[in-house]
Amino acid sequence: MKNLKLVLLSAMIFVLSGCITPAMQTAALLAEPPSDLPDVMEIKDITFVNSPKAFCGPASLTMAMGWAGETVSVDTIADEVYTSSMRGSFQEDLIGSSRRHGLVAIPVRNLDNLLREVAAGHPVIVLENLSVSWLPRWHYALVIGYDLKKQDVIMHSGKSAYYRWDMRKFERSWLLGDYWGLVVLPAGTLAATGTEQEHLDATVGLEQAERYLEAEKSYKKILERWPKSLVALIALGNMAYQQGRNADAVGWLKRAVQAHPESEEARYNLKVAESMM
Amino acid sequence: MFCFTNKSFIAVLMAFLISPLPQAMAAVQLEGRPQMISTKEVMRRMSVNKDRKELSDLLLRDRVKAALEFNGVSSEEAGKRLAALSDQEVQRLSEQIKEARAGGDVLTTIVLVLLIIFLVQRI
Repeated sequence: MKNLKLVLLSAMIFVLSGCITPAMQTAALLAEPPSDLPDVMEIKDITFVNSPKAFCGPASLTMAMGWAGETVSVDTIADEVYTSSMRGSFQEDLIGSSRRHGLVAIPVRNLDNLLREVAAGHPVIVLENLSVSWLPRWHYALVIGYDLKKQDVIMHSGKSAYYRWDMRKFERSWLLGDYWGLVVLPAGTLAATGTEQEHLDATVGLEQAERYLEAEKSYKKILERWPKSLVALIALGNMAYQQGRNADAVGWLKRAVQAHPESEEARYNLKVAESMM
Repeated sequence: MFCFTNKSFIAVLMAFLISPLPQAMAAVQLEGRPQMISTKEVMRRMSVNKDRKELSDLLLRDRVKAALEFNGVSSEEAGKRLAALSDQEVQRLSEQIKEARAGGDVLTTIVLVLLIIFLVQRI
């Protein structure tokens, strides 16, 4: 047992030491910029929202939502995400608030994906730590552009609009924020980088927030990129059934069974829907 | 003006509209139907199955086998223990392994140690 602890401890030290090397992703990216990424990108038409004091979370989300077509006041969003005792906003609450407004929230967890989202015209909310890991000073900002030649990211951050920051320094602060990033998209839009699972999670979240119309749109869009998505097919069948559209339900569930004959759930739900015809 | 200004007709109509009967009937029709397996449940099952598959694949790797055997657990036995884990336990174990991996490069050692600790703890 003693040996085991020693192994675990040394393994942990090895992991922790990995965090000391900063801006590794920037270095790799700048050394070999992906050929399909434009050198310079800036998303226009994002209304800047000034964030006083600890309101960087609500301000970043308000800007992202405004871009996605959901015009809300920063106070409304603050009511939904800001926790006054913590003088800040939790990441989960940013995701929850997006869903309550019928938007698709997809995580962005590395620099390559961040730039790809921006290149696709999607602004990305990022959580930074502007201090050191053992005494964090958390800050949310909205990445709206980048410049590979000047090695900058462009952000709406705090009190600064179109703020340019050295990509390495940005990465260091983002790394200390555990590379937490989020795109908030109108329903019926897919993120440039998200996985099928991430899109499904976001869409099931819409259903839970009772935004059924948006959820339906989003599932259908998921099927455009992942035509065999079992969860999307079953979800569309279930939603149709719940709304009393039995023929539609049978249609979606038949597709689900065809694409995944092994799925007991698809077969069971199809039987249920057919029994009501 | 109206064809039916009969007071009793209006009274009956009003009574019907006010009564909860129409809504109740509609609700019974939907709720009384057989239930489908919910989308959330479908996702949960898929994710547990995927976790189980990944964990059992991990047990087949040579280095994992060797490390398990070093700790006195045959890979056959480890497989049996894995099969006996509940869905929740599988998810927890799989999460722990993912966290260990996210902490740095894929460190097979850590994954191993966690696996072994978890499985050994269950004796």
